[in-house]
Amino acid sequence: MNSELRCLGVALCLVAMWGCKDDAGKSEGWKPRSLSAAKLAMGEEPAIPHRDRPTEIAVTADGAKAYVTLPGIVDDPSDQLAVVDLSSRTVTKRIRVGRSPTGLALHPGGRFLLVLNRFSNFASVVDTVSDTVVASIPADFYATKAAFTPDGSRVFVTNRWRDAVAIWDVAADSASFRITGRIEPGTPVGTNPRDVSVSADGQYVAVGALTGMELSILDAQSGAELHRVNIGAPVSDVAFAGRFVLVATLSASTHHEALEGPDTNGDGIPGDGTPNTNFQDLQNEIAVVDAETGKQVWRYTSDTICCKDYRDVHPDDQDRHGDLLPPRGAWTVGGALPEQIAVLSHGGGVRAWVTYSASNQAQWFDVDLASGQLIAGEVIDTAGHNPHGLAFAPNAVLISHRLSETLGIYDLNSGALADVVTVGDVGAGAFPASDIEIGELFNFVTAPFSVDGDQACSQCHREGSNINKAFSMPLTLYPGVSSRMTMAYRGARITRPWFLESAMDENNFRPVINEFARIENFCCTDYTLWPNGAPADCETNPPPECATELGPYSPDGHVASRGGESHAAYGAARPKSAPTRDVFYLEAANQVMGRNMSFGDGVFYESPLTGEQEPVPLNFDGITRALGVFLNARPRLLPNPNDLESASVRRGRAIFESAEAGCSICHPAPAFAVSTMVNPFGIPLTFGPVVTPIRNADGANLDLLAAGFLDTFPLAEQDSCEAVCGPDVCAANPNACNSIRNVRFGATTLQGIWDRADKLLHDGRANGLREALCTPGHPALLPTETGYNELDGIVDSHGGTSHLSASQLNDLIAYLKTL
Amino acid sequence: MRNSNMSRRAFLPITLVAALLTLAGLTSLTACGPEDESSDVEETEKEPFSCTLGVVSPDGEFTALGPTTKAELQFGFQGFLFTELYMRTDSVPEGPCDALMAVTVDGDDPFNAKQGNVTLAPVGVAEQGEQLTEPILVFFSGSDPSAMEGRIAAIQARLETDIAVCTVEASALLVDEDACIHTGAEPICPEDGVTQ
Repeated sequence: MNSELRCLGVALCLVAMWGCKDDAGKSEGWKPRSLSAAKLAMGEEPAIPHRDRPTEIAVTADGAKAYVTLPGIVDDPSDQLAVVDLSSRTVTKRIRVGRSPTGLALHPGGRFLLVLNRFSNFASVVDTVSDTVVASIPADFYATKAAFTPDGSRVFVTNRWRDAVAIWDVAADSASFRITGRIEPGTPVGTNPRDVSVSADGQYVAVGALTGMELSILDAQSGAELHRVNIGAPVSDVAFAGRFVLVATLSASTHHEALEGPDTNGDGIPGDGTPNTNFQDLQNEIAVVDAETGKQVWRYTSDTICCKDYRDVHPDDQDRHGDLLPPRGAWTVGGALPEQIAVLSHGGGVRAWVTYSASNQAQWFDVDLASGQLIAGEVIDTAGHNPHGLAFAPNAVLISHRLSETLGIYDLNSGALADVVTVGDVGAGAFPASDIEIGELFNFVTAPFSVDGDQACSQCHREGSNINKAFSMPLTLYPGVSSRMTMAYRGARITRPWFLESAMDENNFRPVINEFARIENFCCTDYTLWPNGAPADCETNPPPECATELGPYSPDGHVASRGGESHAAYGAARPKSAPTRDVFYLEAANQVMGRNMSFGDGVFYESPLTGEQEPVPLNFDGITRALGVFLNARPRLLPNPNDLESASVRRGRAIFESAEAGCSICHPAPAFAVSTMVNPFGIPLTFGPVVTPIRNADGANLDLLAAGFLDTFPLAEQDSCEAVCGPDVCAANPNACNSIRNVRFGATTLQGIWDRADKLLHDGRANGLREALCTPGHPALLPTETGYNELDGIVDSHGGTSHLSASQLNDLIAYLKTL
Repeated sequence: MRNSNMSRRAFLPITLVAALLTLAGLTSLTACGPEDESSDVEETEKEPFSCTLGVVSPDGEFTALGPTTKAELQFGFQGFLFTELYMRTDSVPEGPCDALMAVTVDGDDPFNAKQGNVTLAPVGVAEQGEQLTEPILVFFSGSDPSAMEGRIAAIQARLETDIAVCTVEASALLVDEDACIHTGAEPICPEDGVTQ
């Protein structure tokens, strides 16, 4: 996707003049165009009320006005900015810009505001005096965010489609704003770059790759990449404080044993060198990187290490490499999913604010500019759901509450709430106003429903795409070493049953939510505490053990014990009491959304005999079903910006549909997947591996699922030991035939693959489409690439490609990227 | 023109798909048939058929539910508590089958269990056309076996296709006689394994 630098030169550069007509200064042949949301592959269009989803914020230099992007949602994008008068705290105007505005950058001159519109092929320039759009600047689709150099002579624009940072030279004064040169697509960076920041001295540019999990440090003068830093987790935001880059991210673990399993970090050594072994112990982190050296100098992690199920790694647990955790003093990140960071001068020093989108919180840190060290400040609860953007006004910090459609105004010193301004669309009622929105809320603000308060669906299932790493999961027989890719939540409705193993659908994917709050954490369902069952009246009359056993029910707070050893010394208390998970979920629902019953418009109890329907409690089952309703109703795929009609694409389509290649058999249109909703050739929904399974030194197939998982979720299918080796062999050794047993997989959809992380196949071993499609030694492969299209030495097991030339294979890939 | 080697390789995917079809073992099952796309299901009343709710013992014997019929509580993967129920019918409905159950444990609030694309297989005297569903799992959100054991579960069930439907009511006694817990890769059982 990345391509060479291409400077068009001043002569060809596009000029956008303030005061010109809309079409002035645009390149020849360029026409403003916007992408529409991808149509659903099948099924009915759900009727969902419009929402604006206020996200990014910019404040004028005099602090009088704030601009808030209203990008809407992919299914139903908006095209406006809200203008908020900060003295009256009212929305005074809405400005129409391009489709789905996602980035705001105020020119240092103070008058012009650059607006990036991800679904339009232009950026908008807003005059902050007249609050009108004065120019539209041609840009690639998916230009996402931008940052100016301090002198305003240059702006860096991230582009999700190009995986690059475009560089535009700017000439602006108090009366005009012009683009005088541009380098496009620009400097290649990690996959799906989103956030960008320029150092105060104008020397460095930091770019965060959300999907690629990398930080790029660029030289602002030349635009060249100086450092590529592997953050090891999605980069949600970057912000400079002196020469240090503050990076909002998560824990870097891929949860394999440190030096076992697939080499997911590509260092040539098995494993990824990280300490954890389960995905439940995801931590929320802020990394500090020295821009001069490209070295990470600090890493701060969540302030909770818990729970009864030992999901979080104990720092003294050598077996799980707890010693590799950040030191205790670095456990200062007080919320879930660090989303955006903003830095300001404060009290003679420098202060950074962070929003925690998955826990409805924010926090400030004071920054030591000599060392980059962060000194944690207070955590505040936000007055709206899914806090996202941050900006500063005189004595105030502004935070957008993305799901609540509001802008929060908080005191800069204390964090106390000063006011809430509705900037988005609440015509459908306050969020959440439907069962779909209950599921959406849970998806993005999961942490209050997790026992350690710091986990969320959206940590891994990010906007639009999966992330560029495979995870070990407890559903596998070899959880320390086997791996699975994280699936994107967008498009989930297309491929049902869900997950590679096709083990669950919207009626039955509890294991995923289970990981947020396993029953061992609740006194009355803790089977380790009550091996013979808890007292029958445990819930209504908790026995003394519930008060003394450390766990969520404990009055001592949110701590855990293992083998008599208390975690209390390590975990910050976070009081949360509930005798059972259902009670916990009902309390959390009340706390977060002020209700503990569904609306009944999507999640309801239905009488099998009469068909009558009524709302259900938002206990574990109710919340699970709400999430299922959301995944089915809402999240469409991002619109595709690629040229759908090129000659290469047409040739690739012919190959895709040919019998020789056979691609369309298992990935048939319109879903480009086999699912319960589409299966024109009537093939099984699940089938054995089409590429050689990853095996350990003993030859065992590391893809295998745990027996308990198979028992509990019958949609999951796997060869039994007895079926392949007979009862006698298996009675002697149940693992005797693990080299020839296979799990069955579903065919994932190819729709949206243009935007997917370059980690493909179920375990993420294929780095890009070439590796997934090419047979070993195929001429299309680059020297560093491996072709995985073979099954135990038989080529073309994942589609017939061995007969294709390199050019033909590239045609096939070109077509796939149009889906 | 392709050479023979190329041709052989090229058709491997199709061969593989055919093999997958066979491996899936679908031929051994009389699954609900393909959806009849021509039927106007919205406008017509569904054809009723009869069915029976029951449990199946480890040796495969079907027992219809009744107040004293035991439905074993299973403490499954990651602590999920569920029981397996089956539906038996003497006719083969056409089209994908969906099962919907409503379960009321004594005086508790009723809750649903849904399972789509339910597969049926011949059972008993084949000539009589009896079909038995795959297990339909009923998960208990509360997840506390001791709170469920010994209680009566009243169950309403519906098995339907686009054109046919059966409904049935029954009750069962919830028991927890298997002391093992199946929370991970291997069952965890007291002492020497499964207890009586």
